[in-house]
Amino acid sequence: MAVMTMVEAIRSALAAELERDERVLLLGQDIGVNGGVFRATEGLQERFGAERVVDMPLAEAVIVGSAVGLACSGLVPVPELQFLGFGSQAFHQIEGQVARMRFRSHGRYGMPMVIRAPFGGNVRTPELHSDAHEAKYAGSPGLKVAMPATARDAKGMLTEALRDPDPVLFCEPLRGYRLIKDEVPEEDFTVPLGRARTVREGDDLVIVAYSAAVVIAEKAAERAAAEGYSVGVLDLRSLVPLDADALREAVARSGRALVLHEAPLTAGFGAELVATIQEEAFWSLEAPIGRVAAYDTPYPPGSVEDLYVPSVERVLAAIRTVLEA
Amino acid sequence: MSTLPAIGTDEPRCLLAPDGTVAEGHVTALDDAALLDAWRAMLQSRAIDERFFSLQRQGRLGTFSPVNGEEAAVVGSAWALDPARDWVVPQYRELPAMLRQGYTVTRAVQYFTGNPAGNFMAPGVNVLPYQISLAAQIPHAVGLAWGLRHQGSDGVVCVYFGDGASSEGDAHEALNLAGVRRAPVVFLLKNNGWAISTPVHRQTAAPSFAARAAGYGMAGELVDGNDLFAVHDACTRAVTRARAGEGPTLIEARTYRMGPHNTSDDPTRYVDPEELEARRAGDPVARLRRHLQAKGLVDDASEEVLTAALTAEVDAAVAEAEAGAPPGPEAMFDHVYARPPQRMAGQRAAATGEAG
Amino acid sequence: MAPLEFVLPDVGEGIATADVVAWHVAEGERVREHQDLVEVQTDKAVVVIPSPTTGVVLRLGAAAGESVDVGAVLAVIDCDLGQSPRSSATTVGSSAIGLRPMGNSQARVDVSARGSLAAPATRRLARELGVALAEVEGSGPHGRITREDVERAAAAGEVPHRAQPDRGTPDRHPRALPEGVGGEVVPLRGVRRSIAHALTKAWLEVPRIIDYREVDATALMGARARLKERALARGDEDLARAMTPTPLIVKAAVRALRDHPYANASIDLEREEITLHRHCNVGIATASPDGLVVPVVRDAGDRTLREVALEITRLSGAARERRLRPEDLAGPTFTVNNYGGLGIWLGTPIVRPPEVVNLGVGAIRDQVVAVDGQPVVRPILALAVAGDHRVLDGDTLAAFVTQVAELLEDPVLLLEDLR
Repeated sequence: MAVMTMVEAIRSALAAELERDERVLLLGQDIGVNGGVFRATEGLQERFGAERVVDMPLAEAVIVGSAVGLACSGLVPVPELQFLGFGSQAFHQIEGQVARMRFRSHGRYGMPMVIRAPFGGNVRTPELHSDAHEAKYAGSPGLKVAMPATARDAKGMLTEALRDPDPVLFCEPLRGYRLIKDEVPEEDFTVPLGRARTVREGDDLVIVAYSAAVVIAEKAAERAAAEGYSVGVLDLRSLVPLDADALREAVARSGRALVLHEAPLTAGFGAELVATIQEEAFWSLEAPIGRVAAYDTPYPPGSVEDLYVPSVERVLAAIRTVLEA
Repeated sequence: MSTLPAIGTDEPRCLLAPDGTVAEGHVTALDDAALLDAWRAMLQSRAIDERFFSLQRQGRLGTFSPVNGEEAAVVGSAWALDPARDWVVPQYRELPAMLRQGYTVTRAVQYFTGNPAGNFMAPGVNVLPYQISLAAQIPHAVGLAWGLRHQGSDGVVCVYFGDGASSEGDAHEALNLAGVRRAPVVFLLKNNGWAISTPVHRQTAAPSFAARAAGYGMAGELVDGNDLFAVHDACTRAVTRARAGEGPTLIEARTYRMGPHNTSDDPTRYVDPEELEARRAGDPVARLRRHLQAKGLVDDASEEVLTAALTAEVDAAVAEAEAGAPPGPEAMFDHVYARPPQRMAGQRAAATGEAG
Repeated sequence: MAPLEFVLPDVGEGIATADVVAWHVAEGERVREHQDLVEVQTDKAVVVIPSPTTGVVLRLGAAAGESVDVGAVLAVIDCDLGQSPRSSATTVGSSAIGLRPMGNSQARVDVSARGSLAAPATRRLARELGVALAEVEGSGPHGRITREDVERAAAAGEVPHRAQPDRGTPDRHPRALPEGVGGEVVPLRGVRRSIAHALTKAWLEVPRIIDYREVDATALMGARARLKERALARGDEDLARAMTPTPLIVKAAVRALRDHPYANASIDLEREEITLHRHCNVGIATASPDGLVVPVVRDAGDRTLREVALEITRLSGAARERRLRPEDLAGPTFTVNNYGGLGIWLGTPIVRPPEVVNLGVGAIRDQVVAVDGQPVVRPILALAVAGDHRVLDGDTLAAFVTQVAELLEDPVLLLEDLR
């Protein structure tokens, strides 16, 4: 097994599937010669040609919209949104067309498509590059939403998503592309969607998180352990499908829960998680469920973004509040 | 007043005059059999419009947009395609083109009665589903054409949209991409003068929609959309070019919506009756009738027999669609996912009363 | 042959009702499927609705000019054999949705622990151990009951085991009061029940406005005293007793109603009609041993002041002695409620539909008022006139009340159209 960064793991998954399945075709802005603005597709056009790794005009709606047609023709398109924040320019195609084409066509046209989209903060990008919009996609029936937190999962889940007959929005944390590195099998393997990962077990409280926030949760759990608390971390891996069984088991064990994400609090996916926990594990609860999220403001400029994205300190403070309730 | 809505100064190409005479020197590619086939499709469209309207008023059909007035634009373009390898990507006012590709009237009745099975295209029927989100289908058509070509097919995609949809961003993005990728697409823009109540001069200040083609690096043609021969001729050339790898074409078929936008619309609120009367003189069905009668291919008696037979066909399709069991709650859940999340499986079980 | 009830479909994405413009068929006629049946006007357009079937028209659901709601029967057609289409009357089987019925015996709610502070997990533990939380002292923050508290209580056995108290079948008409609350349950019966239902309807239905007026009753009191004196002089003791201010107020109101027909009206919302009454039947709110009743002075406009006064006396006597006949109570078009005798100054009368006005009369009492800029003491009568705002605007009600007040301040004006 080799240690890889998340971006290397993603690149290796794309390369392996391009090699394995000739129906796979990548399309996006700057993904060819330039290898993607984060180098996620570096070297792939050279290796697979400009007809399979396709540089597209700067137009999100038609990057996604043409992928719908490509899928109807029998291909497995992998459109890349340069940033999830720009996905709003294609939201009508994703929510209105990609997500429901199978339904609209009564099963004739499936959408075996993976929409890749970097997102998330702490990297000093200009406006709209860092927004965490996952909840509105999770609220688009017909779509699946994957949010890997490790390099291993990035490769295994991306491979799984590419082979899934349903469309998957695959969100990649900007901050994690190079910071997150772990051991990744070189051989072919998949990680199923909808199966949460127990990062660490805990008897006093469980933090439920996904994507780069899992790293924050782990650090906070370590600090809490130093204070004598046993805090677990559950990595959801995907929002749709949601692993409600894992949520129930984790909360049943600890009796206390904290949900954590980088998106603003109001109508964030944390609200869905809190609702699910109370449905699944209400009688196990020893205390009200805590939420740590970004503030209900637009994603701010770089000088204050570290105050906006949930930090280890904010998570720790919330852990204490829930434990002391 | 002209029989066509004018914007700017560009003049549409006309081969079959309103009096039924053919432009000097033009020989249509449609032989007598094909002509009668097209004639039948146009009359069938009228019969369907009439029956569907009646059914909607009786509460047996949902909202429906009639083709009325646009038959030559739809039939002329569809008859330039080869249903075995070419594709139709409709908006929602192109039923004759979909039927030519193998879609059925029974499915159409299902679609307009709110049965999800109505949007199913049987394998081999090269049609994408009805599209209610205006212009959203245009990027699909480009991707579909690109994908066909990528896989070695010489199939061509004909995508339909209107003057209103041309204002959407999706239309621009798709036309631009098609030009860049030289995708084998025929963009059939039916300019019927109206986007519900918005007249075409409020959609664009350009001399024609066809003129936009130059900006996308593709061929553009402006034709009389009520002229079966002009539409068919322009489309045939566009299909030939696309098949040969010479890229897409934007065809503006200038026609006129002679009925309401749909069954909920009352055009008397905004259409000048004099204008409507003047435009009726351009009726594509009447025009083809004059031509075929002059050629001795049809007469009033044969038309009456054909119309009665076509209406009986529609009635049989309605009976077939109505005889089927109405969809149950499982219709909400079928085909949302190929592999449904566990949560949705639970919802399905709760809604259908099946064991979860 | 099978009769098909053809209900008005929603012909335009959200139409609720349509007016019939013209029928193209008559009852008894044959129609063919798709033949034009009727022309209707919706708020979007005029549309022609064709017949959904072939057969004989048995009945038309509405005449030209009438309106029909979506879903109401437009026509009944006796279909020929083999001709019954799936019409818009077919309803999607909502019963197919597998919802579990409510209220089975498994789902009784245990409310014994309401008010106790405890986490859900502690509550479950208490249930499992048979501990009643209401009787456990909480040792946690803010008096919260902890797991330890529950465990301690269970171990001590100091708490009676009654985890799932059987409260019996939920009862819609509980006879017994909650434990520890004294009192008596009185069933609603008779007049009280009618009053309760009628006033509930009135309160829920009528958007009420009240016009409060102060009337200088000097002249009214003078006139009343003069009339009483005159009756006594004639030896007409019945009339003398009957000559309270009420008959004068009734006559003044009736006179004003002639000029303000919308105050002597009734409203029928279902038929969407207001009826302006030719006669004026004045209900007189009256106390009876069973509660408030409202007997009616019929045609008060056609009767003399004397007749009105004697009739009011007769009706209130009958009410007291429970001798009111059904016809005494029938058909009021307007109500006067004199609660002044109870010492009430300003009342809040309730309009009783379908009537649209209730004229409340308060006590006459001496007040200091300004007359020509000087404070003087005058007998002041407070009117509180409630109107149904659906029929009466503030200004139409005020115009009526102004005229009543004028007539009461100067009763001589009642002579104006004496016949």
